Amino acid sequence: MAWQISGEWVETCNCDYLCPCATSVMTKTTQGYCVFAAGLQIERGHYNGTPLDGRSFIIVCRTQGNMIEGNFSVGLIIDDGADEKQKEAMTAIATGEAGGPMANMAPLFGKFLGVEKAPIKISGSGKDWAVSAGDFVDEAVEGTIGLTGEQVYLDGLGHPAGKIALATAKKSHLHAFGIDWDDVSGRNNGHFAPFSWSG
Amino acid sequence: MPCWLGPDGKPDQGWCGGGFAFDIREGNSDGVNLGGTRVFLMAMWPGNFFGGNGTARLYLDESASEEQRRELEAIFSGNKGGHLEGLFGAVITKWLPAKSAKIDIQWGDNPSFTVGDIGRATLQPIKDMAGKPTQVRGAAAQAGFQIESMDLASSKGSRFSDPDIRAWEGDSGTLHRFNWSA
Repeated sequence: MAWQISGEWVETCNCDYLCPCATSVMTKTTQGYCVFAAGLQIERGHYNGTPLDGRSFIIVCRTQGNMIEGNFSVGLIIDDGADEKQKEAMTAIATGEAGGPMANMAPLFGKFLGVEKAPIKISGSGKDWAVSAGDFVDEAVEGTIGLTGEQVYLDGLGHPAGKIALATAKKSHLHAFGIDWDDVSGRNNGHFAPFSWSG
Repeated sequence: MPCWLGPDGKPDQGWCGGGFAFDIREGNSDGVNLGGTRVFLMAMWPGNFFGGNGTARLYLDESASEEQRRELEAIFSGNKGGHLEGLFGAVITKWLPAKSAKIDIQWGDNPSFTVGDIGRATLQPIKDMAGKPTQVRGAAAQAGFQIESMDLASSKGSRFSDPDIRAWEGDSGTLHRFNWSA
C-alpha cells in the first residue's frame, strides 16, 4: 500500500519552552508528564488511490511520565469534511499502522482513545501558526527569531516532522478524549514545520 | 531555558556558568603561528548570558610559547578586534588575570577536555534514533559567536572550580566548528 502526504505540522505541549523532551532524547518533561496536540494540514496527498489533498487531522496525546517511557494515550481528531475512506487513511497514517514516520512512534503508544470529527482549521505563515477544531482544540504558536532575524530550528531530534521550528505557545486549549488542558501563560512550548511523509 | 536561545530566557538555576574550550587546528596572529594551541574560558553570569555583567578568566595552553599565549590572550579577550571584541565587550564586565594551565582535549564519540586542576568536562552528543546529531540552526549564540554548526550535547558529570569564579557542574553542552578572523 503506497501513500504520500505533505503539508504543515503545528503543535503545542504542556512543557515550558524549550521543551526538555527535545534536548534529552525524551527523558525529561517539565511537569512529569506530557500533553500535546499536533495538527497536520495536508496540502497534497493520497492513500492507496484515495485523495487526501486539503484534509487535516490532529493527534492528541497524554503520557503518564517522560515520553521515553511510552504508554501514550492517543486520540485523533479528523476534519469533518473527510469521507469514510479518507478517515480510515488518516487514522492508519497517524497511528503508524500504515508505516511512515509515525510507525517509529507507534511502539510508544499504549491506549487508543478513538476518533472524533470536527471542523479543523490549521493556518498561518512566517512565525505565526494556529490550530482549531470546534470545541476540542484551540492553540497558537509564535516562532523564535534569532539575533539575525531568522527563525530558529532544531534538526536531528527524531521528531516525526523532521527539522522543526522552535516556538512558544501563545495559547493551548484541549478538551477531548477526557483530556482537559488550558494554558495561556505564553511560557509553554510549541513547534511548527513543513512535513513530507510516505509509506 | 538554554541561554543559547537569546536574552529573553531565564536560566534554569537563575544564573549561568560556562566553560568554553577552543582547540585551534590552524591559525595565526600578527605572524605568530597558533596551530595546535588551546584556550579555555571560564565564566559566570548573574543571569542570562546575553544579560551581561559576566566575570571571566582565560586559561592559556601551558605548552604554548610566550608569544602564542600573548596573542591568544589578546584574541580571546576581544583585544584583537573582530566579533569577540563586540561579544565579550557586551557580556563580560570583569576579566580576571589569565593563567597558564595544561589543557587536554580528546575528540571522538564523547569529546572531553581537562583544564589543569580547574576541572574537566565530557560531552555526550544528543542524537536521534538513526544516529543523526541534534543540531540547532539560527540560535542567538550562533550569531553572537559567529559559528555555523551547533550540535547539542549533555555535559552531565562535568565540573569546574576557580577560586574567583562561582563553581558549577555541567548539564547542557554544545559542540561547534569555528573559523574566525579579524
